[in-house]
Amino acid sequence: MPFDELVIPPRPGNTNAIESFVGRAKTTSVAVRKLAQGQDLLLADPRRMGKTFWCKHFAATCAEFNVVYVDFEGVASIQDFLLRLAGALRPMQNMSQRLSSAIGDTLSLNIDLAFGPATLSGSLEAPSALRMVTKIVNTLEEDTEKTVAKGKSPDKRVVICLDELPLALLNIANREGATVAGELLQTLRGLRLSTRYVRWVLCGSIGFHHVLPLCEATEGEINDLEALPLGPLPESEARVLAAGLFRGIDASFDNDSVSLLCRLTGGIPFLMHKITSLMQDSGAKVADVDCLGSTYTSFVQDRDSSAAMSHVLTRMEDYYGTLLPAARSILDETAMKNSESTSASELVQFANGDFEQLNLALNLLVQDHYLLESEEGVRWRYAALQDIWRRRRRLHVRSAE
Amino acid sequence: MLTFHHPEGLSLNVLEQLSVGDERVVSGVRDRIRESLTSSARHHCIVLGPSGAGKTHAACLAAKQASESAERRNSVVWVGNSHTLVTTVEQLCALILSNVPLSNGDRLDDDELPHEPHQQQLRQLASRRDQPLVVVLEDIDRLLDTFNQIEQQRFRHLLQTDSPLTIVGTATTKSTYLTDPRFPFYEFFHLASLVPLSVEQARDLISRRHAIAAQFHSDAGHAHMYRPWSEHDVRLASSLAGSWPGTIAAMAAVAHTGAGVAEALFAVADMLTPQVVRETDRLSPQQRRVLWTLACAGQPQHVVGAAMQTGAPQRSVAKTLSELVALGFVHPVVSGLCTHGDKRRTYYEASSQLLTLVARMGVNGVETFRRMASAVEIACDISDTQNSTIDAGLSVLETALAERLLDESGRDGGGDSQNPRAYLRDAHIALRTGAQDIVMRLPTPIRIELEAFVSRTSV
Repeated sequence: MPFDELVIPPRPGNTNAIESFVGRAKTTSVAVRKLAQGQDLLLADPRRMGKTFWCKHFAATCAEFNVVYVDFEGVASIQDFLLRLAGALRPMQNMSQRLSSAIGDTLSLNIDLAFGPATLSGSLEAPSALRMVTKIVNTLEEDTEKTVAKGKSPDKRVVICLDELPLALLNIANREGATVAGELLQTLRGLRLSTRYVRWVLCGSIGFHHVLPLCEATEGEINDLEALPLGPLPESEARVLAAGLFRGIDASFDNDSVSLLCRLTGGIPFLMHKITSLMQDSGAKVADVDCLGSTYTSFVQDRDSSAAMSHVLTRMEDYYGTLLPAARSILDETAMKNSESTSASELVQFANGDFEQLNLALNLLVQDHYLLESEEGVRWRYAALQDIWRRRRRLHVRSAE
Repeated sequence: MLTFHHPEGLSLNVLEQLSVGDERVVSGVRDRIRESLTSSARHHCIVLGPSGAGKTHAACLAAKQASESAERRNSVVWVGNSHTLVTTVEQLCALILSNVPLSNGDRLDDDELPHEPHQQQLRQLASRRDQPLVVVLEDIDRLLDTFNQIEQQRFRHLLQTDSPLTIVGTATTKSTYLTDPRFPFYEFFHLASLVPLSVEQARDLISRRHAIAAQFHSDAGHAHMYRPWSEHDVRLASSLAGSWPGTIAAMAAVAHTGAGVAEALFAVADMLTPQVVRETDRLSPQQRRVLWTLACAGQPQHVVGAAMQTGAPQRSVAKTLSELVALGFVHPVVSGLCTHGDKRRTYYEASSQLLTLVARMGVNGVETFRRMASAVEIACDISDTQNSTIDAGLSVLETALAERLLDESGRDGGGDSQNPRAYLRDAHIALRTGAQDIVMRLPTPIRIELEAFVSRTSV
């Protein structure tokens, strides 16, 4: 269907149909180019930016590679990790006998055999499970190398998208210990460096910089990865999505309403879905400036519905420790400025005059994609999030005082 | 008598006939399920509302309509609340599998299948059918409660990665797992909240239920049982017990005996007590004590008042109240009747009118309640009066005080604080002066009727 006829029902939150995916053309072409050059990628945007949807779309539509998408949410041990990986590889076409039996052996670990009153469960110690991970990936590498060399169909390299990997590492560190989680990181790094025909995209909404210390690892374990920024949709793509969403709620619209939705939401797909979904709930049939403006305002003022975009607060509570007060104050201060940057000297007061503390807090805020750093100082990366933060923290009241 | 039905067993036709209320709630859920059945999208929904709000009815209706319109019959799996003992995703998958209505091509007894984990069996089944299973799960909030963080993550993984399922759940409250960003299911489900029925919808519901019940008792001898309720009765019942379909239908079922609304409510309160109590069984003893105090009072309480009645320290009661507000059991009261008073003082009341009804009936008995019902009746008269001025409202109250509310011996009930005259005197003062302490002394149904009246006068 041509883009100017797309009808997309707004569905914030759940897994949308691949057919309703819009945009990310540049991200996709950069990803294909980098992967073809042998570069592995890291996708680490904040939540609700559409990382998982992009990965699934990439896996379903990429013509250049065989993309395997693996979701590691709920993985709490190396054995779980191995089973999830093997389960995702199982549907691959034209698998060699060797790979097929390696995967079959692995999956048989997940079978509980009942003998009368006794149940025998398959289980592996972490080192054996890690060896199995290595064996499967190496076999996959050899298989792919052979097919590419012979020019067989499909003569494509394999890309494995590991989604929610930081979450799995966190669970493993909690359940099996930091050393085991660290060994998994090292094994994955070893595999990335040793494979040529299998490429990797790592993805997760928790930043690796929060997880690495808990795995007794350093940035060194992931420094071979190149960041693939996703961010909000560029305006041309956001306009296509906006028009599709207005059609999806059967509301009449014009260029102005499309522009306004893009501007208010900053092109963040989740926000665009959310605002049009709220319009649909209210029975709006005309997407005019008034309707959009009032829906956006009530969305931001309703703490329940806009909580999705203020999750930064909770994320900070979980991971910032003693730096939390300083980080909050820095976000408050920078949120008050429209587009100009705030210099470090203006912000040091929020870290009790301690530049070391300020640096630590700024590093986390920049790595978490809330702030953008330039020579002039720091500013909010996404205007829409800045606006929501400003309103949720009632900063306009403070400035009036 | 069709009082409490089991929607899962009803045909789509009967479910549709009995469906009254905001059509958008059902259609929002139905569209999402249909999309899940016909595309790679997987939408999972939760219908929210208190006991008797018609959650299960709405969930079943949406699920059946979606599978019918997508021509995917046999795709609805009724699990209900049989998941009480489930603590892992694997156990839940086993439970779902055991409830799947099997078609010819399903071959669940294949040699390979019984050895696979249940999750995998579900995936294989859905993949063979080339469609997900629409699973109706009652009290999904309780299920999430029993899952630890890892199991919640696993459940989310099952629901969002090549999911063999699309879930239609029901829940009485927005649990922390749905509203706190630290949990995996935060902002994951489409939440569809049911709203109370209007008087017209409530009457419509009663007529429809009577029409369907009459089909089962078509002999003339039973015809009188299904006479429609008067608008006045429905209005009064809604005002006293909350206008939720379960309560209205239960009352309609009792009222055919010729009992008045108060007696019908008493019978219904008795009937609904286990349901109401079950809703509160996950609260801590302190939370339950404070909630019960508010419900028994039947009128808003501030922290100091609630602390005095429970005998607990104020700080602890304040904390408990904010927990109950977050859980949706209690809400702060902001009344349009108040024109002056201490604005810093927050009053709270129990959110469920049914809980208040059950508590007050239990504590005060039917006689006291009947007296309040007659005061509420007059408040309804004020609210319905055509002349929308405060003076007109005051005049209705004065007439009632002078003529209508003398007891059988012609006396006015003396100093009995639960006498209708006492309620109406307070209502008169509240309407005239707007004093906060008097307004907050009014029983909730009377205050709500007066607020509706005052909001019209302001317009």
